[in-house]
Amino acid sequence: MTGKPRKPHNFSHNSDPLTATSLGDSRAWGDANEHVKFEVQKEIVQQAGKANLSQKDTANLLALAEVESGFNPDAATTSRKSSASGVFAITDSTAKDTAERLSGSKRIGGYEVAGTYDRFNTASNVSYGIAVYLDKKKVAGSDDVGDIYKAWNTNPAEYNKLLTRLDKHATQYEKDLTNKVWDGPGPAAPDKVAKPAAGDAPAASTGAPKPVTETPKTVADILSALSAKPPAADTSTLLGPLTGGDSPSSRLLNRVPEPVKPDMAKPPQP
Amino acid sequence: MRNKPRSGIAHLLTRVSILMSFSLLATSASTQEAAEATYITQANLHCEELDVSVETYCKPDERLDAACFLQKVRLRLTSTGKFTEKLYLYEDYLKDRSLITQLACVKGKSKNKVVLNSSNLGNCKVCEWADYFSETGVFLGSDREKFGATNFKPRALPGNFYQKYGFVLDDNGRFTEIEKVSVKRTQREGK
Repeated sequence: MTGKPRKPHNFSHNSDPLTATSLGDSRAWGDANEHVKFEVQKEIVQQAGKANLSQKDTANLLALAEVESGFNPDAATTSRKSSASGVFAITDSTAKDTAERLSGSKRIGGYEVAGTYDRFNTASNVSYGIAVYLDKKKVAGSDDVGDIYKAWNTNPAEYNKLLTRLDKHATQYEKDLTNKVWDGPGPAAPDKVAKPAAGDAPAASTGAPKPVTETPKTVADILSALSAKPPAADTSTLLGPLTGGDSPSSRLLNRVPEPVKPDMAKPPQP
Repeated sequence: MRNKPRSGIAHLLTRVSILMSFSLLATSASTQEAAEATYITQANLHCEELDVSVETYCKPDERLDAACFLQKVRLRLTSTGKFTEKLYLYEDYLKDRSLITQLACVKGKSKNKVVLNSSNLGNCKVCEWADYFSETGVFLGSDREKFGATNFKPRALPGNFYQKYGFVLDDNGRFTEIEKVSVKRTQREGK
């Protein structure tokens, strides 16, 4: 253990192994399937709604999550100098500060973080992300996503590259929220996730259209099959109403990865 | 007639002195208010033969909750009572807006070491760093990229730093923490 030269002390969680409950495909930025990304977005929208946040705040949160993790709940920077991880790329020290400082009577706008911080758990990271957001919004004294991000990131070399992009994302997500995009079913889960084990209930919670793989037996089945979308193999067709230019999923499908988080796209360091 | 200007000057001087007195009183009062508003939190850690304490000087701040501007670190050798003190300033203009947020006693090859972790509580690549101290309180190095107002000369870490000073890291390059203590920044409620 001590016989070989050491790299600097490792803050990074990039080499943390994925677990059976991991939703992302790796620790890289945006490396999760469309279903997972949609569910992450939905979690943000729902938690923001429970916290009575405005549509602008919710859009800002979605924009922040997009640049930070690309909605991969298992993302973690490869930079050994940072523990930034999860949906909102929250550092461990910021999470700790949030838990200690923004709970009880100190909470902002009545928002209380949900229990112990679990960096790769979507609900936990989103909850802490909202608390950090509200704190940084208070520091910024503004609800402009760029101003808030300056307080969030604190490193001009990083945040300056992202301000325009954040603003565009936030504007688009406000439109998506107006169009109630996350009230819809979203992309179907991939086969390996969607296929239930024998005897299990179907994955109805995903709201995914039922694949036409069985022979319809009744009139109701035939009508259901006719109204159903084509099978998951053709993703672009499957997404149907979400493939319009005004939906987050279409952007996720056609997007070029965020350029300023390259360290999240690199393979883990040995 | 001759006395008139004199008395006028005297009158003016008297007025000025009264005004100055008021001004001094006001300054003194505001200084006192500031001193009263400032509060100190303390975090303590014992590691090997070292007693480590971090005093954090803060003021309540509407936007930040706590605007902490100074930290005084004391590393005291229990066997001799000798100690060294180091100051950490939280300064915007030096672009090193960092505070010690955690004290840790970490596993060493023969003796455990002290690591002071710092963060500016942002989410970025240079937001977290650590200062390393030997079991006797000697400053060994820091992995921060920017150096601000401290009263000791920072040293960049050599490639074999951890091996050279006997820090034990696990396969993920992390320390085994024997004990860790968080630094509080806000005033205890009820005070």
